[in-house]
Amino acid sequence: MHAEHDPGLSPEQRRCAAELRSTLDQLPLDAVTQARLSAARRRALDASRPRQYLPIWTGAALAAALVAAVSLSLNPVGTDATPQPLDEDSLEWLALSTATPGMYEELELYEWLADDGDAG
Amino acid sequence: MANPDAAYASMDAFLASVERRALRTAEFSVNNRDDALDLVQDAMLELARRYAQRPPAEWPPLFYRILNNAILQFHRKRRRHARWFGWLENDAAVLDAVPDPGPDPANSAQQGEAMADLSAAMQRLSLRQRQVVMLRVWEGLDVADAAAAMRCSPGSVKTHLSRALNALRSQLEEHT
Repeated sequence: MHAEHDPGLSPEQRRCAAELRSTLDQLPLDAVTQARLSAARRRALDASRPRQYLPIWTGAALAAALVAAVSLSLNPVGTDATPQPLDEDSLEWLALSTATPGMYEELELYEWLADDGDAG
Repeated sequence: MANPDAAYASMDAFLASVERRALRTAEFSVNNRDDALDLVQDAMLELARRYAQRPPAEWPPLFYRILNNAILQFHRKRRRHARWFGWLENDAAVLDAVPDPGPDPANSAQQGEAMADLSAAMQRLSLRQRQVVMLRVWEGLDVADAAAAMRCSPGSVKTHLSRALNALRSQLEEHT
């Protein structure tokens, strides 16, 4: 309630309050000051607005998803891990690859003996 | 107010509705438009930061309380500064004593004689009386809200207003 309607004031005081208000209402404000005032309001409102964390969280989520995808492609999970039976060539290669140098020497000796026996 | 965008729009509308009166209130109190603009911006910022989630009906007394505190702080700082550095600034003090002509002579001309008389009459009031005139007469806060804004009792608001109106009436009648 404006003071001009306050029953606690005398009629003269109420009239004075009404005239004051009317004079104050008519106060012009130049365009430059109005623009500065509006800019101040915008600055105050922008500074008070909570920052937008969404893009940061979105970026973090995308990065985490990318890391997970790369990790899964390098180390697949859930594929069939049952060993397949080896064919004959693979078994021979395996046997040779696990043989000791001494075994090779003995093998060469037996081959030489066999050749020599055939020749003789 | 749960929706932040609605709260932001509502606060924007409120501040737009009070900014001109707030600027005049500050200007009457500190006699300098740039300082007044700074004070109004600081008050807007504090209201928006701290009280945006409060019901809009509470904003007017809160805003003017913040603004009045800022004005009091401004005067305290100025007094303290003058006490400690006054001996360094004799020339500046002389300049400060000259009444501020206002930011724009064209604007002053626009305001006319009535405004000049009113401005001069307001300058003769105490700071509290100026505040109560702006809050009760122009802003339209009721006694309780004005008391909350000025951090004083409702009785004190009534006393300040009554004395301020009597002083203004006699000063303005002298000029007419």
